[in-house]
Order: sequence, then C-alpha cells, then structure tokens
Amino acid sequence: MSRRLLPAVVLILVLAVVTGALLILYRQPQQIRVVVYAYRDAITGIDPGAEDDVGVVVLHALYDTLLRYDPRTGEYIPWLAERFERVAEDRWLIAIRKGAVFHDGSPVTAEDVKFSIERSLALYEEGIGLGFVWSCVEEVEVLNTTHLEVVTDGPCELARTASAAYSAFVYSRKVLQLSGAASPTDRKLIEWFNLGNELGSGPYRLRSYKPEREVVLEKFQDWWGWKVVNNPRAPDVVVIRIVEDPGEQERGLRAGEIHIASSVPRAVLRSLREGGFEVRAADTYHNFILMFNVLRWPTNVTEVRRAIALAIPWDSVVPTCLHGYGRVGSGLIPYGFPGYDPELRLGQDLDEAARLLAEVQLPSGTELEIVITSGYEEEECFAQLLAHELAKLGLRLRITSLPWDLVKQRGAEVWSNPEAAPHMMVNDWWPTYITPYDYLSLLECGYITWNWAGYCNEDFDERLWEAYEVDLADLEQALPLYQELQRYVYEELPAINLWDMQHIYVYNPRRVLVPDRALNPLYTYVVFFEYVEVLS
Amino acid sequence: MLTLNYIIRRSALSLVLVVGVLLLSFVLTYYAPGDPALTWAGRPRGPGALEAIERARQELGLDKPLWYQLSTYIGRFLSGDWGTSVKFKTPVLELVLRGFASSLELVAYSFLVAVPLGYLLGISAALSRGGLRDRVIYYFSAAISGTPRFITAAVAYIALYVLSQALGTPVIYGRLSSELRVGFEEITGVITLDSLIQGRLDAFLDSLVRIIPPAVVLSTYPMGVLARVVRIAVAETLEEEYVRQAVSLGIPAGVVMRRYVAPSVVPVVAQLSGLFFSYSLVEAMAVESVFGREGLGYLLIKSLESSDYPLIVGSIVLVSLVFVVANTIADVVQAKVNPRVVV
Repeated sequence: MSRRLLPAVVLILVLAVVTGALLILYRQPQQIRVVVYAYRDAITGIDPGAEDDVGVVVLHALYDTLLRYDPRTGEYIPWLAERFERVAEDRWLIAIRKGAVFHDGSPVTAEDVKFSIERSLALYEEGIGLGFVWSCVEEVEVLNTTHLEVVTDGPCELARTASAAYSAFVYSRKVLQLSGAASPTDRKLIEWFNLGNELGSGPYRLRSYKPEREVVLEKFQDWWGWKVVNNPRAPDVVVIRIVEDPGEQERGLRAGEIHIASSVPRAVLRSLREGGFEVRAADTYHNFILMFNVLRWPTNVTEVRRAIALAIPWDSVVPTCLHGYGRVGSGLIPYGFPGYDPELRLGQDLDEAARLLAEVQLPSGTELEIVITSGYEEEECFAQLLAHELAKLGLRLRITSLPWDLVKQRGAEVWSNPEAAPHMMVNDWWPTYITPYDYLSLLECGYITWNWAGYCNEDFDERLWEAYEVDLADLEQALPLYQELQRYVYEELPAINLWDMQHIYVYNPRRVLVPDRALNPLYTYVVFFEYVEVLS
Repeated sequence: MLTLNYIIRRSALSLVLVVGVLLLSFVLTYYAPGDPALTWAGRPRGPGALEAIERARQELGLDKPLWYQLSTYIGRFLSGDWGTSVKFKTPVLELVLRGFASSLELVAYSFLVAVPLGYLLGISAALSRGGLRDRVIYYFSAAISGTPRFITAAVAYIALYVLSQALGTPVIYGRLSSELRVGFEEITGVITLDSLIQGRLDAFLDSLVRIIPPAVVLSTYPMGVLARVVRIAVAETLEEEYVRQAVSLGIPAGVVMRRYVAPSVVPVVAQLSGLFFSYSLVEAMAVESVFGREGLGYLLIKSLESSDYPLIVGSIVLVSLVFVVANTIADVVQAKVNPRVVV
C-alpha cells in the first residue's frame, strides 16, 4: 500500500468506528422490555428444596409457592393452589390451579406438589435446607392429578408453611430423571440445580445462570398468573446483576445500566432523589441482632452484657447510621411481625452502665472485640458509636470487619473455641416464614451455625419448642408464650435487636415502576418482577 | 537463537513452575483461617445439622490428611478437573475462564493502545533528545505511569460521566448494554469477538465504545514505561558506531531508523510486554471495578472471603499460567528478532 494512502485508510476506519459508536449511543431502545436489578450478594444456590440463603431472590421468579402471604392484610393469597382449605383438624385439601404448567409445558400435578414437599422434608432430615417449615406434615395423599390432601400430626396452620419464603416451592418431579439422581436427596440433583437448571412453573424461566455475575430470566408466556396480575408492561427479560459495591450500584443506576438498585450508599439518596430517581423505603422483617458471647469473659457476665446494652446510644443509631431508614429494635422480633413487643426497648443510661460494671469490678481498660460485616455501612457506623460510648466507661472496643463468610465462621467458633470467638457479633436476620420461632431459634442450643452467642439453656429450648408446637396449630395462642420468652431474653441479654431495617430500592421512574405489591417484607430482597412495569 | 531444545526446556520449566504455584497456593489455603465445609454446607439446621457439616467435610475430602488431599487435587487438576467452587457451587474452570476472558479482553485492548503509542513516544523523544518534545514526553510518561490506576480510572470515569451528562449520551459502564444482552450468546466470553462471530455489529460497536476508556486507563502504565525504556534504548543505539556510519554515508534518516535502530529496540519491547501483560491482569481488577466490568479480580476476592480453596487455587494457577505463557512468548519473540540472544 502506498504510504500516502495509509493515513487515509486509517482515517476512514476511525471515522467508521466513531460513526458506528454514535449510532449505538443514540439508538432507539428495542421493543423488548428489559429490567436490570442490582443485588449485593452472589447467588448461593438455586435448588428450590435446599437453598437457605440469598438464592430466593431468583427462586421466587422461577417457582410458584402454593400460597403467598400478604403482611399488609394478614391474608394468604391463593397462588399455585386455587383452593387451600382445612377439611379436618389435621387435614388440608389442596387444589392446584387449572392450566398451571411447568416451563417444559407439562402440567403441574398433585404428584409434583407431593414430591416437592417430601423432598424438602427429606433434605431437612439431612441438615440441608429449611424444610422444617413442613415439620408438622405426616403424610401427603394424592387424590387425583389436581387435588391432594395433606395430613398433619395434629392441628397445624399449614397455610403459613405453604407461603413460606424458603422451601415451599413447587417443582416438577421430572428433575430426578433429568439430573440422573437416584433419590430426591441425591447430591446429583442439588448439583444439577446449581449448575443452572430448573423446572418450575413461575412467571420467569432461567435463561442463563452465572451466580458470581448475573442471572438472566425470560418471561414464561404460559404462566397461569399473567391473567391474574394483569400487567402488560411486565419485563420480558430480567437481569439480576450481582453488584456488591453500593457505590458501583449507584454508578450503574446513573449510567442507566441498572434499573432497580437494592443497595446504594444511604449518603447519596438525597442526591439521587434530586436527580429524578425514585427512592422507595420498604418496611422489612430484616433486623440486626447484637449477639454476646456468653461463654467468654467478661460477656459471660449478665451485668456486663446489660452495661454494654445500656451504653448503646439507642436514639442516635437509626438517624446516624441508617439515615432514618429503620426503627430502633425492641425485643428480638422486628416491628410488624407477630410477637413484636414494643415494651422491650432499651435506652441509653451510662450511669447505670457504670454502676453495673463497678458491681462486677470489671477492670478499666478491658478490651472487647466486636465482629461486623465489611461493606455494611450501618454496622460499621454502629460499631464506631458503641466504641465511643464504651470508652466513656473505660472499656476499649476492638472492631473487626470481615467478609460475610468469615463472619459466619467466626460466629460458629463460639462452640468450638469460645475463648477465640469475639465478645460480640452483629448478625442480620430475616424470616423463613411467619413465626416468631424463627427469631428466637437463634438462641437454640443446637443451632450451631447461627447461635453465635453460644447460649445453651435447656429451659429456654424446652419453652421455645412448646411455644412452637402451639404455634403450629394456632399462632395467636402461642404469642403469650413467645412474649414470655422474649422477656426472658431481655433479662438474660444473650442477644439484642439493634434495629429493624428498611430496604431502600432506587429506580428511574421514567424507565420502570415498582408498585407496592412487587415488594413484600416476608420475602426479603425479592422483587416480584411480574408486577414491575417497564415504561420505556 | 531459537532451538527446539530451548522450547522443550522452557515448556518443562513452565510446567514445574505452574505445579509449584499450585502446591504453594493449596498448602497456604489449607493453613489459612476459615472452614470451607461451613460454606459448602450452607446454613444447616435441625436434627441433621452436625451431620450435614461433617458430610460437607467428607465430600470436600477435608477429613483426609494434607498429602492425600494434595495428591488427589493435583491429579484431578492436571486431568482438567479443577473442582467445584465451594461458594458458587459451580465448576471452577468454568468460573475462572469466564472471569479470565473478561479481563483478557480488557488487557488485550489496553495493549493495542499501549505498545504502539509507547513505542512511538519513545522514538519521538529519543530523536529530540534534550529538546522540548523530549521533556514533554518525559514528564507525560512519568505522570501516567506513576499515577495509581485506580485514581486514573476514577478520574477518567468522572470526566466521562460529566461529559456524557453535558452531551446527553449514555455513561460508559459495564461491558454491553442491557438491551443488547438479550439474545446475545457468550461463546468465548470476549464480547467484541463474540459479537463479530454472531454478526452482531450493534453489540460489537457498543462493547467497543465501552472498552476503550478502561483500556486507555489500563494502558497508561505500560505506555509510560515503554516510552521511557524505548527512548533510552533508541538513544543508545543512535550513538552506536554502525548507526553513526550509516548516517555519515548519507542514508536517509527514515531508513536508518527502520533498518538499524528499530530492530534493536524490538527485543526490549517484547520482553517488557510479557511482564506488563501479567501485571496488567492484576491492575485490571481495580479498573474493572470502577467501570462496572466483571473480571478475574472479583472472583479472587470472593474466593478468599469464603475460604473457597478450589477457586483460590484455580484463579492463582490461571494467573500464573498467563504469566508463564506471556513471558515465554516474550522470550521467544526476543530470541527470534535478536540472534545475539542466547536461549
């Protein structure tokens, strides 16, 4: 090529690229309705029977539960079950919705529901998943292809179970054959799900699964519920993108590449609102519980725990650390959840705290350790506030900030090596289903993976189980029992609820609309995309 | 001189190096704090909770002695089974290749910018030694190579953001627009390549626009250093007797540069490029984060946080493999273009 021609060719190429780029930047949006939801944690698994963590963010789009619970009205909404009736004290009749089909087009049958329930229970027996929600089930009898009866081992409020956030999903029993698993609890089946396979009947089906990066869902046109939700502007494609850094979520939102953000820094909310973004504060049952190591000196002394609790600047925590988006904790159970007790709120009293410490003769300068989760700005802020207040009492607080997985591991250490486990830890918790047991079980002796207090009290455990047994039949009757237990915890203070969290969802209202019914406090961090409207 | 013997020796050495890295990273993660069985088991509760953790330990082989775990792991690793991530419950090879493809794409584009520009700047500075152009290039290269990449990336991102707000154009973020992702298949994981394979010109241009700013940011360090090294190499070569004679014989300056000066600089560029390539892969982690791009860095961080030892080892070994391959290629190129290099 002639040397004179070379610059001309390069110039033409550069112009072509620039023109193309400008065309792309100014292109008209396609007709496909896409929603990108930014979520802060990597997906931990999508086995509908075994998943017990953040995988529910995906699972509620892929699978239906028999019922859904509406905390605003306290009603159970018929979902995959058209009828869900108690026909005897220990017997429930379930009729599956006509026309409900799985993502492969096969009809949802009573056999599939039976398979799903029994698998959850069997996995739970092996310590996997949260199938305990079905623990009162004695037998599942299939009456015909669309009807079944569930026999319980006594009076049992099964509607709560059927609407649980975890382990209540219905899926096809064909998964056994597809995965080549020998039994419902075979590891092969769990692996099959976690490799990005599913066979549910939910509004969306799985298009691609990259748990560390993003999950892409596409609208399932044959979903029975489209007629019910009546949302012609529902997204055709949903991208659940894993964006851990809140700052990155904000950048993505401003760049228009994230349409619904679940965790932006609270400090920028005003600026986002001024920029035209919608900031929605949703009430949740997600609370942050401070757990004291009761097996290590000095937090094994009740007076010391109370002194620390009295040192917390309760009135400053929510305004300072949560920018007002939350509520001060009272008891272990969050506001709005059955069993919430407003009388169990603590206040700051440094004089009383000093008196208690003097009573137990705790040497001045004693160092305590608190472990918090790195990246959780509200926990970091709380730890700093607490350190400041404890310093006034002559105590030093060492703040250890760890990634979530390491926090869990340090928490469980209380059982194997309590002297090495931290004095205090902040544990954030949300419910499996509507029962106060869920929160109080954090202090059950055998619950080694979550009872980071190392609290082991036979009397407490027995009374908790008694309350739970009553609860299974009638929640209202169980509430006084739970209240007693909460007061017991309030006196002993192995753990204390710091605050109930409000989740902040930020979205561009010119692009999407997130109606109230798309968010539900029972289903934490789940967005029911079938209700989301894509406007442009 | 490049010989078959050299290639064999070099390959064997590379293999030893990779196995060494594998051994070291496995042993270090073995003694690191954290219990992968807890992550693998999830949140066990109920009557079988303890058994679930114990079973997780057995499934991962953590109940076996270190030598047994190590030998089994190496055997599997070399046969292509890199294990399953404890955190993501997905095959490690799939995860690391996905992360690597994304980072590789960025590093490759940054080299397309860094190498020719660094080379040209270096030559340009050498030709005007002591002059204004030399000084400008000197300070410019010092500034761009001396500023940490995360700062450069943040400044570039903010500048682009302000510019896009002023022009009303979308902000550069991510690897591909959400709309264009619909129906787009990732074949190799390199989006600009995949879009061409699928004949998706829109996706190609979109991903190209999105990769240029982070690639330019990432190119600053190799470009700055290359410019300075090339300047010195060229300046030295220009003082060589054979070059001076060529000039005195009246051979045109362009020919002197092309025939006598440039070949002596290529080995230096090749050698440095090999080193920079691996280094850029590490630096890409910060740049990717600022521009909302996925990559190997994120995976490595997540694996460390969750004691995900198969993923930790897999990620480290992959990076070391890249290091070895890049440097081997650099050595081979050096040997090929410079017969004086003995290999």
